[in-house]
Amino acid sequence: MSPLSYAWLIPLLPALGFGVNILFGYRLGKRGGAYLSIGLLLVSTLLATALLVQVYQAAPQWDAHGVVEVTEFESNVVAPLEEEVAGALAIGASAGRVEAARNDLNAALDELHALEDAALVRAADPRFPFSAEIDWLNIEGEAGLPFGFVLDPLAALMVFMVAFVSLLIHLFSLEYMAGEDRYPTFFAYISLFAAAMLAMVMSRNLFHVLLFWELMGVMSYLLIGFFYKKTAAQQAMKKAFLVTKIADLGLMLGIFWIYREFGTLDLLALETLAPTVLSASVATSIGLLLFVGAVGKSAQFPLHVWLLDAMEGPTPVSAMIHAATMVAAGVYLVARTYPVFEAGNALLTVAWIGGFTALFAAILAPAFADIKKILAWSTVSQLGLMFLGLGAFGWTAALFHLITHAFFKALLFLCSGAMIHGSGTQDIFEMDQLKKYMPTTRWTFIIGGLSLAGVVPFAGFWSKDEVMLAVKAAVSTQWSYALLIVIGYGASLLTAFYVARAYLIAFEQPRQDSPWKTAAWNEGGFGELNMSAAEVEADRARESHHLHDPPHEVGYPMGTALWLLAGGAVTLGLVGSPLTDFALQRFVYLGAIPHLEPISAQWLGWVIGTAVAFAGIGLAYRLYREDAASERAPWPLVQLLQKRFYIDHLYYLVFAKPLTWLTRPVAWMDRRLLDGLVDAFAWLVRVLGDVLRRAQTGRLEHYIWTLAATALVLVVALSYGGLS
Amino acid sequence: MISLLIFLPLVGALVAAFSRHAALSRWLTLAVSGVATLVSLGLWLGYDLVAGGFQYLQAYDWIPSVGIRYVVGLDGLSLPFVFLTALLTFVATLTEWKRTDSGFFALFLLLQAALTAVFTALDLVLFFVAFELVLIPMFFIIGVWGYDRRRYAAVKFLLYSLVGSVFLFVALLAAGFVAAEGGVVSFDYRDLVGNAALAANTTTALLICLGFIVAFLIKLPAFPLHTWLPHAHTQAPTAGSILLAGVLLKMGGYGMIRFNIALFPDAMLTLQPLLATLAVVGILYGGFVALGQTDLKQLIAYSSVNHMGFTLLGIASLTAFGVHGAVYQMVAHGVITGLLFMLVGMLSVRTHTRTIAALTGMYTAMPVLGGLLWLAMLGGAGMPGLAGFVGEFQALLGAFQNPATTAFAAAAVIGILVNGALMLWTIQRVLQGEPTTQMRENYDLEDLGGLELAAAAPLVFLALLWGLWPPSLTPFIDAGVQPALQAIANVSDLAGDLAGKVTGF
Repeated sequence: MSPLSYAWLIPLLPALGFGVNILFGYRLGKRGGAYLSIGLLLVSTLLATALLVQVYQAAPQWDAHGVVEVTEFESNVVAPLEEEVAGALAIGASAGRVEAARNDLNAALDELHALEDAALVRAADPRFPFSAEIDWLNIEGEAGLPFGFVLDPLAALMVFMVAFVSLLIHLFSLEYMAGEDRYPTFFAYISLFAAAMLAMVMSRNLFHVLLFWELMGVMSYLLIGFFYKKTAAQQAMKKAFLVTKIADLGLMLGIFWIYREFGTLDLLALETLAPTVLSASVATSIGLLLFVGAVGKSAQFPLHVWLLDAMEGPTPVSAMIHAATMVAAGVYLVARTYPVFEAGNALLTVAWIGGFTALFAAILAPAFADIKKILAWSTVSQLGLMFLGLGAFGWTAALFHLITHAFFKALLFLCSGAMIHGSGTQDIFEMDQLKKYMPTTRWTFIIGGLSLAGVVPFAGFWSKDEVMLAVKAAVSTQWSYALLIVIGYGASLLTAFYVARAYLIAFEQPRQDSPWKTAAWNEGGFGELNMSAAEVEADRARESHHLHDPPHEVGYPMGTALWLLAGGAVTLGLVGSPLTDFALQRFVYLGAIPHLEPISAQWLGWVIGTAVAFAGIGLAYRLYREDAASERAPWPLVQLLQKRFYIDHLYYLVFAKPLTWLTRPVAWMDRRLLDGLVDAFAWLVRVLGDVLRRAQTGRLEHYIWTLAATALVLVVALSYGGLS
Repeated sequence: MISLLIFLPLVGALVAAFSRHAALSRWLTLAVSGVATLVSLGLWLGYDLVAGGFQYLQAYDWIPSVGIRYVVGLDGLSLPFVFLTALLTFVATLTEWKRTDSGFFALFLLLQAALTAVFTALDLVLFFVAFELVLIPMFFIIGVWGYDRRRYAAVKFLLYSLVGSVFLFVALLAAGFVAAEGGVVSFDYRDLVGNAALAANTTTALLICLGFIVAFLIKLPAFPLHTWLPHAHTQAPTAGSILLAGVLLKMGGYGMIRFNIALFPDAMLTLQPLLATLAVVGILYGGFVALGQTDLKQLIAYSSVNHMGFTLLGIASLTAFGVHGAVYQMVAHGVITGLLFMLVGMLSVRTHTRTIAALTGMYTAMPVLGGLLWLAMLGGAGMPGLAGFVGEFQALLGAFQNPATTAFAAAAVIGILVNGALMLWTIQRVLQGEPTTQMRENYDLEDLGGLELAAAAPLVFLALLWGLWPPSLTPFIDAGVQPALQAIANVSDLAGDLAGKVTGF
């Protein structure tokens, strides 16, 4: 059975969950809608698993060492020859020389194909990659916008990850959101959120990628503002939507441009056309435009500002946004349109934005006391690493990290939810030695934390290592990648530090008066800029901020979700490690991109990675171990960090404030000036009319009757005129 | 059948006008518009896509000496608007179910008849008569049943439109005579399409084209000819606003595609930069001015300037995608903005105010009305899954495709952002938060009743249908815009260039 026969159900079932919940959710009893959503998503997850298995069976199988040989040959032999041909053409060398260079290249390519054939253990199923489409928007003479699915390894992996992680987050929410009145609404939104992401990663046409991408934007907007009575939530939801929308404009233009060049938005066509049709400069421009979209969605610098405020949403929503959906979409987009990036020179920008963001966010994270915000910065930083990987030609590495990150970040966010649920506070300083009361949360947090820090053999270690290896390999193409290695390891050091700090303060240290208390509210966001003191006060009153004494452990649904994700955070790394001969990399191997590095060189990366992780953890332990003195009051640098380098302030003062201020005068202008001109003209006509024809009564009815009579006379006259 | 669609409401209007029982008029209006909705839906489903062109034709001599005839027919371009006219009249009647004036309903039926005639008339003079006839009922609906500044708004609406009509009348007479080139004068659209004298690159053709376009730009409305719209919308009763936004504005876009592009392709090429400029300014300026409004209804009125800017941009692009997008956007706007005006009407019946600052927390107070309004606002902001998203995308893609309008498309996307900010900010101010006790005491905050839900439901359904399933609309548009696209292809190499890009996929 072709997976196409059931794949369409995978996004449709959660969408159905949305429909039922939004229309009838409140009539299905307290939890009826939630059970329905979870049940439907469970079926989706099972289907996604079947899909992954089938795609794996249909995909070509490569031999690990053979692939290394291919990539080495490609970069060492073929690439120089290609440059030679291009160089000969560029300087206008004689036909003979060009011909000779071409012949060399062709010979090398033949050899490459021979190597590829040798590396191929099992040829692909003829139906691979599974794809189908139906007419959706057909226009005569245009390719139009057909609706279709493409089920290749990338899609299958994403679908599986998204469905599985979403399912666990749903399960977690069952208990976590139990106290909310708008329980069905919550499950409706979060189901459609998952459905949109599932549909997006399967879509074959870029238009539908955009459609589901935007739908995710809307759903995240609604979920971030789930507590819509809070002013801070209102501000946050609006900010998230508009900041990502700015980025979407870039994405839209990129898509338009692709259509203009290719005459189609078919992603399968993109793969074959991008290398042949696009000139380097056009490919660079399109790549940068698409990347702008990814920067917004994945909260990369300088459009990272929405993600921290998005913590106003319920914690499971944060887990959704940070792991399974939303931010992952940006990485997916670049991975999916990678041929365009390869055809141009946008990748270096991708790498630098990613590397910079990774370090930037890792520097900010240790300055926060709100557990959710620490994790939010962590997401920004880890996504930066993924883009660094993509920018360094590490396509599979970035994808690998995306998958492992989804598991350990969902785990950490759900842990933070458990911590908040159990202790009644989001401030890690106010949490009282949680290790005594919450063993499940503690151990799963440790697993997630070690994975994030990149300690062997947890999942994060293997994928982060792959990313760094890709960066190292890229140095041969451009020297500045060397700098990015340092930046990457710097970010990793800080990552290990901040996650260990969060663990030690929350789980090991006794409760203390948070020295950060004043900053815990609205830490540097828009809120403190455009919220009145009364609004802040009202928000605080709504929070019902009271500490639980003693903290309580999670219940059965939440615990199950935590342990299952922890299982992933421990084991998932293995599928991309030498222990399985890089099964994941071989699975998604596209044949055109050098994804794998010689295994022999890896031990150095392992040593450095592990050393960096332990250094960070050790530093944190020194500063924050159980009996350490309470943290000092924030010093100036920390305050600067807490204000997020005043970037949000800057945007607010430069863009938001002047624009909102300007609307009134412009509206006035339209009314008085533009419309005033019209009125003045009318007045002039009337005065003239008065002077010329005193006989007029000026009564409205008379004008109308005159008009009607004139029209009648005209018609009658013409009619009779016609007859005579 | 088409004549039935025109004359049934006309007869209904006469009966209602002389009826002393408001209930009778009301039921009559509902019945007539209901029948018309079903008939037009039947005509839509019965339209033969393979054959294309004008179908259900009816032609009679009217004033043969000057070649004026009564010719009506339907093609894919007019079908959606004829259907929308009937449907929106139907739901608007439901919305105004508590009115007790026969005259109000009589005028509504007259409006329906005139609008149906506009979208079906194939004789230019007949088109003009219908185009003018629309003004009269709308003038009285605003002027008699509007809010406190209704007379000013009604007169402005009428005079502004009449200015356009003068140009239109002269231009269409000229078109008939120029096309005849001394021969037999005909105003039959089918005779004029493809006429070499009109399609030629001459000053005469350009001037005639300009005459048409001025009237249509006022109707659309395009910047800077839009200032009648906020007054008309703010002062019109709810049903008037629904029809005004839902169908009346579309006469402009419909006219441009039907007449300007199809008859004067070369002149349109000349006017292209001007139209694209007006479109982009309208998109940005309309959205920005809307941001500064304090009256909810006026805010939505200005957002129409933004939305119809995308229509104009699509038309100005002169590409298949652009023209398609323009029509799609018009249909989408008709449904979504119609819904918005309906819901705002329902809201203001309860609160007796439309001042945004006085309407906080409406979602908490009335979750169904609030939820629908939230949905409609997101639809206005181009939410995917609703029709507006598909329309905007096509119009922008078309504009980007044509090198002559690429830069305009790049500027126009900013309008999406402005529009998004507008709708989100409005949602925040009107729906979110909590209503004060004082509001709860003074307002009658009862959620939507069954009748109101029934009025809103068809529009929600259509917004979703056309947002998720374009095959229910696009093939008809495709059949309808072919004459216009063919005319463009005859005078420009662009279509060929673009088609060359289409690959085998």
